[in-house]
Amino acid sequence: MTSRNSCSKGLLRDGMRRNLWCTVLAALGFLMAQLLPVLMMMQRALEEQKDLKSMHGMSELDIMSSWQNVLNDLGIFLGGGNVMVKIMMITLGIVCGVAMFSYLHSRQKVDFYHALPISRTRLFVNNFSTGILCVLPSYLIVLALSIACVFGMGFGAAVDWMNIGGSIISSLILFLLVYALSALAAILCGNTIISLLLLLWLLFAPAAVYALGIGVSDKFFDTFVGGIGTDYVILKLCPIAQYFAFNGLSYSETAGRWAGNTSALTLHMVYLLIAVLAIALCWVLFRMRKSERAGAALAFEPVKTPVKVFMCAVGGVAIGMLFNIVAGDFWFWPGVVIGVVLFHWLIQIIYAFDFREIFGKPLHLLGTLVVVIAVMLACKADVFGYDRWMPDVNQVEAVGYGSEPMLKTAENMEAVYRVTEIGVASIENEQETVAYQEVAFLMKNGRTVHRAYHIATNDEFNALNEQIVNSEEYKRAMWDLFTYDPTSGTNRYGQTATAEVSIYTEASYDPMATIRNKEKIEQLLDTLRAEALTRPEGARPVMRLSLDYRTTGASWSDTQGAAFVTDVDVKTLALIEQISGVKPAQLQAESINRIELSFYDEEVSQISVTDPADIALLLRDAVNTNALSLYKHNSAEGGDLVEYPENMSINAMDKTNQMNIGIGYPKGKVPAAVIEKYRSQAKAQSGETPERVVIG
Amino acid sequence: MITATNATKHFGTLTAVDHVCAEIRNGSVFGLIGSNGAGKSTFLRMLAGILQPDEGNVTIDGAEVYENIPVKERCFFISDEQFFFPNCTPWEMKNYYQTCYERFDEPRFHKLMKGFGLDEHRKIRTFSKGMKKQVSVICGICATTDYLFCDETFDGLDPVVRQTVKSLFAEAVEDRGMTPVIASHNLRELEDICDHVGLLHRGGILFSRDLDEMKLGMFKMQCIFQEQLPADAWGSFDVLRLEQRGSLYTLTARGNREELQRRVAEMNPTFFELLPLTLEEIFISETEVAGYDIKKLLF
Repeated sequence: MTSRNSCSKGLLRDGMRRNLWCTVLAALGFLMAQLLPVLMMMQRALEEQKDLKSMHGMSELDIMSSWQNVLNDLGIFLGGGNVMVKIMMITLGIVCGVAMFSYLHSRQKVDFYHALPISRTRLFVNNFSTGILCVLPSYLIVLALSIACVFGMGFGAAVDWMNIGGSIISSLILFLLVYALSALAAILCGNTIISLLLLLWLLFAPAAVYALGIGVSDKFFDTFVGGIGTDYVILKLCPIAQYFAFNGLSYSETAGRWAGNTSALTLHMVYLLIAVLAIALCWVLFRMRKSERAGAALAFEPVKTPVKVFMCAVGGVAIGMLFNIVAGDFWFWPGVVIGVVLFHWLIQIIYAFDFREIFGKPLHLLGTLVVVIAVMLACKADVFGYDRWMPDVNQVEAVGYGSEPMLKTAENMEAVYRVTEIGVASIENEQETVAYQEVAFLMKNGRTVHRAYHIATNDEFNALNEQIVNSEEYKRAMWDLFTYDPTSGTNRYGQTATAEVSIYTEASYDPMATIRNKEKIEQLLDTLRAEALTRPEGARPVMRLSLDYRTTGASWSDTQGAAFVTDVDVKTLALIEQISGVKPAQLQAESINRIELSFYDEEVSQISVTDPADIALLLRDAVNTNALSLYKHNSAEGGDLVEYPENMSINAMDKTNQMNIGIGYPKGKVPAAVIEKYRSQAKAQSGETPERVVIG
Repeated sequence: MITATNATKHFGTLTAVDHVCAEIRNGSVFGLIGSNGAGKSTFLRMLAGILQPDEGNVTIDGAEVYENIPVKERCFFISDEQFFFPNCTPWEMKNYYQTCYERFDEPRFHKLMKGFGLDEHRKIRTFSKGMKKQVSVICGICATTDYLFCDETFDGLDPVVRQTVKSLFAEAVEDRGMTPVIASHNLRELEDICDHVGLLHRGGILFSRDLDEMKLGMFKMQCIFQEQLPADAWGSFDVLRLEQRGSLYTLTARGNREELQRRVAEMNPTFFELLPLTLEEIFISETEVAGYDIKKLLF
């Protein structure tokens, strides 16, 4: 045993010595990517501080603020925000993976290594460990040196050990993943160039295939919902791209917005699991790999045809989609054929290392073409019944009126099911008055199904819609007022953050006050929650509460949602006044110059209302929708609080700063009589003068 | 003892080694000869545990060679295209082999390197082809394994070094019972050193025999007769090759010397000469029987 161990150590030592170039490359790379920029940042900051101190008029606070910014930047740089280190990690992962296993591509080297009395397992462990040992010590040493320099130059306050620890773990996981995939490509192939091509495929194909799937579904299925987390998923399926969205074990401040619901830590764990599985697969394949496959395109003969067919199919559909985007629907089909043929030729040449093999295996080509075209035609004809799909009622766990399946009461589940039935019936039924409605079903097996319908609106649908959105369950599930948790201490991306509520009125686009006291926020939200649930229809929104989180150290807060206070929420209004002194501020007729009415009937017509009496009538219940951000896409609650007159828009022109103010009305309070008066006038005069008509 | 039982290796649609059965006794020097593409290197790579037979098996003392580390510790393979680490020296290669072969004889390595006039600390890439071969052979000898598999090892060695290498092999066989298995086209070289020969042809083994026994069991005869012989005159002989020019008959036949002499004498030749065959002549005769005829290749 001792002899075996010493032999293993000897081989590892020898491997390290022979791959010294890799260690040197890693050390130099990290010095350039980590230590040097840190030194540059600190030197520059010291010079700037010196300049600031010598400048006239600079307060101590400004200097302190500038210093704090430098410390923040340096902290982010050391704590996983260094893009250059990430590039180095990815590069070294690829280089090491290919270099440590490229011997498998040369018969001469394979004969040498495989004739030695070393088991394949030990050879694998030795090679794999060598790659890791060539890179990671360099990374850690350079990082330690950088931290030492940071302390040495007086920037010690920038060091956040938690973030640095997270950054090390994140980098290790991502390096391991790229390294394992790179090694896997080298083991699967018998040639280094083809290994690199396969590695590119391994790294980008999952995201590309997913994106293609979305594109094809969007093209062929009327009810497909493409927007739900698509970007997040595509990014997550491409770990080397996702890596740049991490700052250590959390998302970076900007990238966090694209992160979706998966926490950065969970994603790291998933990548680690994939890396471990890839290493295990490498080991199994390494043991199975036949020595004589050195020099062949793929080391495993049985996978050649499936790999080719898969690549041709994906390539064909990708070219088809490209043609579709460039030249329109018809060109999708020629694009698919051209793509499949091109990829087939390319792979034939690669497999045989012979250009003359371009026309080889015509049956494979024909078979692939037939299968791809057949699948696409089946999608087009909806052979699989995607659009007509209705869930088995007994298998539904929860439903969603929108993208999140959170409704579980029998009434809501029945209503959403019925809306879906109406939606399915509307697919073939093209009508002018339609409503776009997304629904979601959480099945008992854990699967979530999303569909979107252009529903021909009728009384039944309107009644169902009202029933669902006015239900307490819907409000609790969909309104930000209920989902926002000021006590969690972290934002939705898992970053440490504190709650913050900003109050907006109709008087300004800027917040009138911001509450940062957790207890006061809780008290305010509890009061509003109680009142909001019993609010009658037609209540007039008077304030918007921006529900935010401020990440530790961040200079700006991140909005998590919005809640609205109406004129009937008297307890809440009183509490707000007590806490912040802010009162509602309705639009006043005196401050408005004129009101523009735009009618979008068969012909677009516009009219300006300048008559003070009519302005007063139009503004009596009006809500400044711009200042309160009362849009459906902003919040479920806000979108349901106001309504707009049909086929028209109303904008008021502010007297003092000539600002254009969007106008909406509480439900049932649209001043229909005034509007109709102007509609008929605008129509009558639009034929005479295409220019704006001014009455009053 | 090395035993190959129906050892078969396919490379795609090509069958490189086809159901080869052979036994190689310990302490013998086994020469592996064969036509181009006969499968010598493939067979040797199976013996060394590099390739796994697709059918049959290759064992050493009853144990499979492939992925059997204790067995592989007893074997050393010198490839026809040797590999050395980039920019390494013989001394570094020695160090590497030492980590793999416990019994590596370092003093002998230094002695042999000196004896062959090779600089241990010079980069191998600056060596000539023959010098690289010498480094491989020295490492192979010094690994002190029971089996040494050599693929075209004498190629590129000058006559003096060839003789020295043969002496080293002979010494190792005598001292510690090493079993060299040498694949080569150079039959004259093998004739000097091998005591046992296996002939591979188109993936299959034609024979595996003791060289002396083989030489004593096959002869070339030249006879002149006064009268034309009937067509079936040689029918009772085990003739491998027969040529007739007028009344001169040249034939290669199997059998023992006395018996052949007696039977030809009974046919009353005016001239009769019986010569032992060289290994090259045996190779040509045997492969010709198997359809590998030089005349067919040329005409």
